[in-house]
Amino acid sequence: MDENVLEMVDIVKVFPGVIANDRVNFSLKAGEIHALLGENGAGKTTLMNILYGIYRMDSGVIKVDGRKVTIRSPRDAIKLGIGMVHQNFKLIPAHTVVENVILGSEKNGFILDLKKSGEEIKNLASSFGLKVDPFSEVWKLSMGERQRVEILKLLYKNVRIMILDEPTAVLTPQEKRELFSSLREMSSKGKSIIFITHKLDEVLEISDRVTVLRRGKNVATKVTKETNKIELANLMIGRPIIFEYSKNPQKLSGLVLKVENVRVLDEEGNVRLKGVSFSLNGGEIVGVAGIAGNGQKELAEAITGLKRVSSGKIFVRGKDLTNASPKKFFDNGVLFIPEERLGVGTAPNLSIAENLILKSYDNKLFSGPVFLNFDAIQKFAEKLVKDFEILCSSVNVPVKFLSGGNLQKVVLARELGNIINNAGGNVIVAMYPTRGLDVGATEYVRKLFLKMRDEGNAIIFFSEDLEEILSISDRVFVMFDGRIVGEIDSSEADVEKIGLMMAGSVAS
Amino acid sequence: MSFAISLASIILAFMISGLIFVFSNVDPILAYYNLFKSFTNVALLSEAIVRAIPIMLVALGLALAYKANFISVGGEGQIYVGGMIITFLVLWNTQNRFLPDPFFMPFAIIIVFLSSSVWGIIPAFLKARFETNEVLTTLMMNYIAQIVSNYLVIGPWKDPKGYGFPHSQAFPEYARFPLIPGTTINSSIFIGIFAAILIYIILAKTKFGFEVKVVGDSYSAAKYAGISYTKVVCLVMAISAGLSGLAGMSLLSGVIGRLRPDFSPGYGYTGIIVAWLCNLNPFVIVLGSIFFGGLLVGGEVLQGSMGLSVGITDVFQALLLITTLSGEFFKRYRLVWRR
Amino acid sequence: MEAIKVDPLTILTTMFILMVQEGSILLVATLGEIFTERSGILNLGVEGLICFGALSSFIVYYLTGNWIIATLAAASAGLMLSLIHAFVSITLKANQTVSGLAITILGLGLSSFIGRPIALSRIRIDPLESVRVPLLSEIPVIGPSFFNQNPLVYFSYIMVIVLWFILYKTRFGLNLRSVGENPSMADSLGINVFLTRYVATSVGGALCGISGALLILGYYPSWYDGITAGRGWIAVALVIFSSWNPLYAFFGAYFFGLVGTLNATFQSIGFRAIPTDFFRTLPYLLTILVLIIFSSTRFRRRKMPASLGKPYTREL
Repeated sequence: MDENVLEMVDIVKVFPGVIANDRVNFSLKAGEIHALLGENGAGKTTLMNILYGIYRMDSGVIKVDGRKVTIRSPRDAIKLGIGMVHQNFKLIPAHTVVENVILGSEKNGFILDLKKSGEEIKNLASSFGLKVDPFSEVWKLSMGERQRVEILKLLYKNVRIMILDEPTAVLTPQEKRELFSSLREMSSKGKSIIFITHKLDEVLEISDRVTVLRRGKNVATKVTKETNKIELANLMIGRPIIFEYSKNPQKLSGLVLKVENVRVLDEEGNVRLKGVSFSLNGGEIVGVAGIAGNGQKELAEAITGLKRVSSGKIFVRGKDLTNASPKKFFDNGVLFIPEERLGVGTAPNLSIAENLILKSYDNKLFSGPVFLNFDAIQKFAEKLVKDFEILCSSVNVPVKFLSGGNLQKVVLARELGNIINNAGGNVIVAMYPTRGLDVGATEYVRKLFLKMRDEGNAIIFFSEDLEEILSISDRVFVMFDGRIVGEIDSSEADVEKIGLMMAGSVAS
Repeated sequence: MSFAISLASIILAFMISGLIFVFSNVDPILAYYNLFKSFTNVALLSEAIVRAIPIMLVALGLALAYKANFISVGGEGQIYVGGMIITFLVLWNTQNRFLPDPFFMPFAIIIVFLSSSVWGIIPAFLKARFETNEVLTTLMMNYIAQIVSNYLVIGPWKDPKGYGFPHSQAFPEYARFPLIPGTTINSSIFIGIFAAILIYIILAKTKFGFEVKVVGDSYSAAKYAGISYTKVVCLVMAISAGLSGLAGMSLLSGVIGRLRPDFSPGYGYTGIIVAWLCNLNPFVIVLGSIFFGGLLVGGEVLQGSMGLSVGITDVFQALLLITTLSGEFFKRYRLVWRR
Repeated sequence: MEAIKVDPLTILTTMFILMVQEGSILLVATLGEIFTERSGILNLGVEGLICFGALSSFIVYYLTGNWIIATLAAASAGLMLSLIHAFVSITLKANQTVSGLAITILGLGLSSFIGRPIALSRIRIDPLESVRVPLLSEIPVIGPSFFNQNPLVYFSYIMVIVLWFILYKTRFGLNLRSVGENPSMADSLGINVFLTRYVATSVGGALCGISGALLILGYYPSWYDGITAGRGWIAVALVIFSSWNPLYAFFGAYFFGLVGTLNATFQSIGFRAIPTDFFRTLPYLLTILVLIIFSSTRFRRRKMPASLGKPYTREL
């Protein structure tokens, strides 16, 4: 068990503006379950995508069985016995389990014997305790079953190094137990498993060793038995340096948004938001912390009218707007900065000016009963472009040609620059508002939020950056598994505790 | 560069159809001369413009629909609907004389436009409500409209004094578009030009045009901005079909003078090609329609003088569309490369 | 025409014979389009492919008198035109809807152009002779209609099974369906997405051409413009109706075949309460109805190839 089947040495991967992996070292022993722990954006998935041939590393060495290898594509990886189960399953829902498993395999002749293959897969599955009907179509399966199919695909191809990217995110507690027992079974049969996660309990429960990544660097590799939750949390989150913004004393100006026990279902009928209640007052900033995919998107869309709520109530300044149209929310001063900038936040082929009036084109300022007032639109757009420092040759350029940062500024400018009612009392809902912005622009946005707050608006923003949340928020919510599991006054916020809540370990 | 690619596309289309001429034992130079004869001769040019009018009306309407990313191919059926409505109005007015002569045409234009609009809203509503494929629904409706129109002209609306010929009674003078003096061009061309200006204004100047562009560019962004997809596509198709209906009226009241079976030689389909080739630009469409009108006249000249089928004009149109579509690839490629 | 008393069984048999003839034309085209769409390519050129195939088979049959060569000619005609669509939509990644429309106009135009002398001369050919299948053809109604037809009709039955087998029982079929669902994943597993799509589009085009041969050799032994009368478009709709499965296409095509024969049937028994033209609109009306039903259900979203109509660009 001391043989290293895999070694990754000094791996560097740079994305424009970010060092995703900064000389990361990682090793894996035969039959080992090795957890890769870190926050979102710590570089775990990047590292594994390099191993699986999806990304090319900028420098570093990968050794399999002590020999240096080059992995250019997932096919290369599979040939070396390395396989990966992604967070978003790469299955074809319309196909049966057998078809998904044997796809791309060279084992079969031109004519398929699906019955025989099905039997083979069934035997393979049962030898690892994976229960699944090989002849069922994948769309009929639960998420847990689909995950088993993904694992079977790898086992069928004789993979011996298996990467699982946040495998428990989609599982019920029951399914999680079954997965863990299968993983132990696999490791006892000599398969090595890399288990990417940000959940401390899981690390302690399943892994033999754990490597912690933080901001692209590996900070430690520990034998699981010799460490504990507190140590791991500290390693994972570190001590964020909190920028001090000169915050004016808070002047609360009354209730503007009230959310009562809101539940939201996705298209498949799964509950994504499991009863969320909170209130927002004018003059405060609430930062929502949480690992992506724990209901943040659903919450943001519910309180801006983009997603129907299945039960619960939403009031804006006392007015019941439950399941009202997005337009109605906007007209009532609920402003939204969505996650997807191109295609949702903006129409790609329309100009900057057109996108800036996307929601207010029928306001008296910009149009009469029939016609648009181009002079007013042009002036308005030029002013916003200047105010928000949007870099462009003209306001008539289609937004698809803008960089990510500039595009975000267009969205911010439209939502925040459109506040026609300057009396305050608006609700600003922002998803990852500074993602992709440079330092100056980030500063600008945060200060803008603080200014909006001082003018009596309520701001709720979602962020993966705990630093950002703690530096400008008055209150912090922590979301986990479709619920707000913690609500903390930011002056007394404890980073460690927030980290544990984000990982689903502590309920406040 | 982009212009060069467009030019290359057109030249390629000429070369391929030139090959077809060669294979059919036809001198391609002579064939092309005949095909474009309209542009050398005032009488033929006037004929080309006559044919351009319905093409223009259809293409302008389609351009609006395509801007909203609603791929209607229903122009042909809407032409027949317009033709039926105007014939109905003529027959009804002959019996009842409910309108003084000078008021008939303005009234008819409005009624034809509105009735065809209703026909056009059907596929728009079906798409908004049930996500039915609009290409298929509009096409099916083309066949239905044509069959019904042919049934009427052979059956209940057949001219009793027509010696058994399958056509309706001739439209009286008050139901005809007067000719522009000294030409064969009828005054419905002004409807076409008016429509071009109207479509231009809608798209470039109005709130509704803005909504059309947003819906056409990104369904999600429109939803996020609170623009109703159903409202936009239904209105767009109402205008589009209304204009195609007027194209049918223009054919009957302007050229043929009565309802006949199969009275449109595919103007509804030519309109599709013109709309795409003219890049959905209303004023370019006016010119493009005249070019294609000339091509149709040229096709008839070819058929008359060289015994070739008018189908060759369809072949040429389709080739032009295919080469232009292919040219898009190179324009796009260059854009990416430059960035 | 006086109403004639006819034996109901004879009427039914006649109806069924016409149904099989009409339905087989639709069936072969629908099968072709299913094969193409399963790979993710939407080919709206079916109408043009059928028409060009029909003309090619007419000419070759007239010249050679050999129906097999005529059918092969039709298949190659369809294949040739569909390759243009394949090139424009797969290699050049153009809008497949517009390209398909262009192919339809091209196919119809070429047929009209080349076929003009034939249309003017009013040449007729002898329709293919029926071949009686022993035993099966003895079954009342079903026998004479399904098992006393020309060889191309039998070919359409066989193709149902063959295509079903290829799609669901062979490695190539599995790859093809996977390409239509998730091309980037198929690509990462080493499946040649472009080649697969080219093959699917050309095989589909060839089948549409054969559908045209069936129209001419079995049904309309003469040539005129507009001979296809929208069958190609109905076939495109039938693909949705049969939820992209060759076996269901069998039932869909014959159902529409039956509807298409109502006109002739009611004429033959002297039924005149409803204008016969009403029956001529029925297939089109019914197509719209089918589209409404099968587009609105969640069912379609599960069955439609997920990448249908979307060009595939290889990343990196």
